[in-house]
Amino acid sequence: MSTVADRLTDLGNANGISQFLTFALNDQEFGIEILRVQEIKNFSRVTPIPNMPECIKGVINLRGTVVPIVDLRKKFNMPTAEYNQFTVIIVVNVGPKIMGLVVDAVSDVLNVGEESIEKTPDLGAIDTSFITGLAKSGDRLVALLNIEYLLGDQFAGVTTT
Amino acid sequence: MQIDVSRFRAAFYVEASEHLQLMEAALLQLESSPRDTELLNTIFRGAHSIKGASTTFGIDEVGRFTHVLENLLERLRDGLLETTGPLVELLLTSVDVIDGLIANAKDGAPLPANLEHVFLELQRVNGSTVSQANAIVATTEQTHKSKLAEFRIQLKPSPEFFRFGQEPILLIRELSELGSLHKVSIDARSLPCLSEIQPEECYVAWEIVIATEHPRQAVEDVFMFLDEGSKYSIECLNIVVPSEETVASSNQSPNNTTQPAVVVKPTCAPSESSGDEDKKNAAERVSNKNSTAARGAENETVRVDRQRLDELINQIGELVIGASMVEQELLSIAGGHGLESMSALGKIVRDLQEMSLGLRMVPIAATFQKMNRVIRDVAKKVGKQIQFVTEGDDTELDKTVVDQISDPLVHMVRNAADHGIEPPDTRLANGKSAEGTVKLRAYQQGGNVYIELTDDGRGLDRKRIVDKAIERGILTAESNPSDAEICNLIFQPGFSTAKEVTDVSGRGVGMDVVRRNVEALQGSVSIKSTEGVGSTITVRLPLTLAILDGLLVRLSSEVFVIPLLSVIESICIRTNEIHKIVGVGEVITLRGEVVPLLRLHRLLNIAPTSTLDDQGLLVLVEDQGRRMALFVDELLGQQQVVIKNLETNFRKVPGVAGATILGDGRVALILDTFGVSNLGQEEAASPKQIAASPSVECFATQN
Repeated sequence: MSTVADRLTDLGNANGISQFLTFALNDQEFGIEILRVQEIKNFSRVTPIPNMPECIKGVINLRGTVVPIVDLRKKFNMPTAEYNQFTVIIVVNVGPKIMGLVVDAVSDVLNVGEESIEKTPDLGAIDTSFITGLAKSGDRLVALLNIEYLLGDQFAGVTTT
Repeated sequence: MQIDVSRFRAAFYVEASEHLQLMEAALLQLESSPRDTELLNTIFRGAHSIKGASTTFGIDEVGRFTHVLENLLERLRDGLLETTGPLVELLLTSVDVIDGLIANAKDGAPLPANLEHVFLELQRVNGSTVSQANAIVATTEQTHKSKLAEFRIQLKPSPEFFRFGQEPILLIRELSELGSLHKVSIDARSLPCLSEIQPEECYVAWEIVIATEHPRQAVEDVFMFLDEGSKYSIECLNIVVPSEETVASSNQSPNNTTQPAVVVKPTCAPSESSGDEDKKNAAERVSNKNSTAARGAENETVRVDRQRLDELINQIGELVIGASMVEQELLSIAGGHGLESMSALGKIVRDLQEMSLGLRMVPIAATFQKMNRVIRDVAKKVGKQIQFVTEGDDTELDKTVVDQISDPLVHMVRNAADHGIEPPDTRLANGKSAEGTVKLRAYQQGGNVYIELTDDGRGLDRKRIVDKAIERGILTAESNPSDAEICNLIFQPGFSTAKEVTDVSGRGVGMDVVRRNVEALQGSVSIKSTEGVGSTITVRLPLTLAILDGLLVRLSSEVFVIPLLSVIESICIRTNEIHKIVGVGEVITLRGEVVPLLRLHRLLNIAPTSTLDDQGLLVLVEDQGRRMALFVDELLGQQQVVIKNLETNFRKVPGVAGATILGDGRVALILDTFGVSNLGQEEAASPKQIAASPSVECFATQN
């Protein structure tokens, strides 16, 4: 699986174009590499896991697989929002593991050329390592997430590549 | 044609270890019945298969070593050597060396230290004077002091010959290693005209004349791996052989190659057999035929990758859940319509699940078999006479359980042989027979499998255990422990009463490891002992690890599963029985016993729906010797649940053993009772962090 994904990434890189799934969180736009995304599903009942950080909503049954769910708003310390019909879970592959991310809504798929990705500005004291860069598309500015870095601490032993 | 052999390597390793096991078993039997030719044949077959396969996979060290071993075995089989104790010992060591060599090839384990020594020893017994380890050709020549014979071989490959990855040039090359090829001619008469040729098919046949001093068997062996459609015949030109032996056709399909020697054997008596040997050969042939039939029956198995099997079982587990979800939906929308067919389907699905779980079950015989060797080695080392008896070898257990119970069993068996059984003179002095008995028995009862290890040795020395416990401060001099407590003591870490630490056991790491391993398998271990008469250790194991008997409980709106194994009872709360002990926590008194009370709501951070104690229930559990009462809102019932690992996609969660999917598709967490009690202890250790309400009492467990 991953080799195919890698090859596709290489292909994309060869053309200098990468694809990102963009989603909204607290009126901001974020992007995840599309090859990391396994599927998008409606928010469903989550079984909470005791004594976990607040951002870990719990686990769901994804066709027989127990998948942990992370609320990205909580992860980014954003104000809590009511879950509505737009609230979705983006199921992503992080290394060998599968995780779900709760986001306000998915927007679209963004094709970005290498040249329109800007490095993350140095914000001094604020840790921005979970953002790989900022993609410009028209007048939109999308923060591209490094999900391995972002979620790696949720489970010990996952190698961040 | 290049085929990727690496895929088959894994299969080879599995197969080789099975062969080694069979060889070991046969060798151990051979000790008591040295004249049994069938045993020798079994050993020979094993060595031969390993040799053939390892050469194919380019593991030359194994091939070379096994070759020499095979020569020796051949001499044994032909009656040129006498089966003696030291010889069997040497053969057993050789089996270990092969095991080591294979481990070396498999995952780079260091080469067995005694490799050189054993190799030279084998050669010495073989009568070879050549000391160089590599000069095996010389050995071979010495072993077969036969006349030069000329064979005419006709090889007619099937059209699919190449598709099976066969290569005629390799066969011819292999033949040329046996002797000189006097004639190699090709028969290309059936070659069609160019336009009709299918390049993947084989149209030609060969005729080969070879002069060799090897017996006919060696020549036949070259064709061992031919596919089914291919035919070959071997004709002896200058030595008279019985006519029935002139034409042999190969019937082996590739997956039959594990026992090739059996199939080929009946037609390949050494051509130089004298009258005496003829009789023996005939007898051997008969026994071989019998064993071929027997083996045919036990051979009807399919080797399946474990992961695939697990996936299948998982999917069937999903099917069960899916079916029950459909059933519940039907109930709500159709008002009972179609429910009958649904319940019929449900039954089929459940049967299917039961069958699928049965797929993982394997008999425990192989593990017991290993113990035979352990006993023998220990007995030899410490100079005792021990008879080893097994019972219920065919009791089936989950493969994972069987694999993981092996080490604890070795510990137990060693202990029994080393500490339990007395030296012969002591036994005689105590009015027992000089030979001690160690018995392993397996049987199934309910959802559990019991393994019982009984020895008729000296039993646990009560006084010494008590002394030791006092010395280590576990017991006080005044205490008068019950027998059960004494038995429990030997499961304490580092508790060994052996007077001296021997090579075999006595380091005190035995029984606590046994207990931990068994408990990791969701089992338990207990011991009964009568001083001077012997002791019995009973290990209880679950039939399978994939499924767990659970007690479903409700905590507010969440459902949790408590492993039924650890549940003792559930009781109604009488508020006057709950005592708050400041600085210790809440306890209840139950029939005079003080048991700590753990409020799961608080430990698992779930908002309680009711503050009234008498609306809940207490589930009394015991895990790893720790007893506690868990406060829950409601008991929902008892159910078998399929265990899902949380670590697969997440990480280990304290107090949670795993997750499962309920009939309605929801995920429920399985509680790890021991972990929960640790949560309780942590809370007691740092009360301030958890203290959400001022009335929080600290928890502590009974010590």
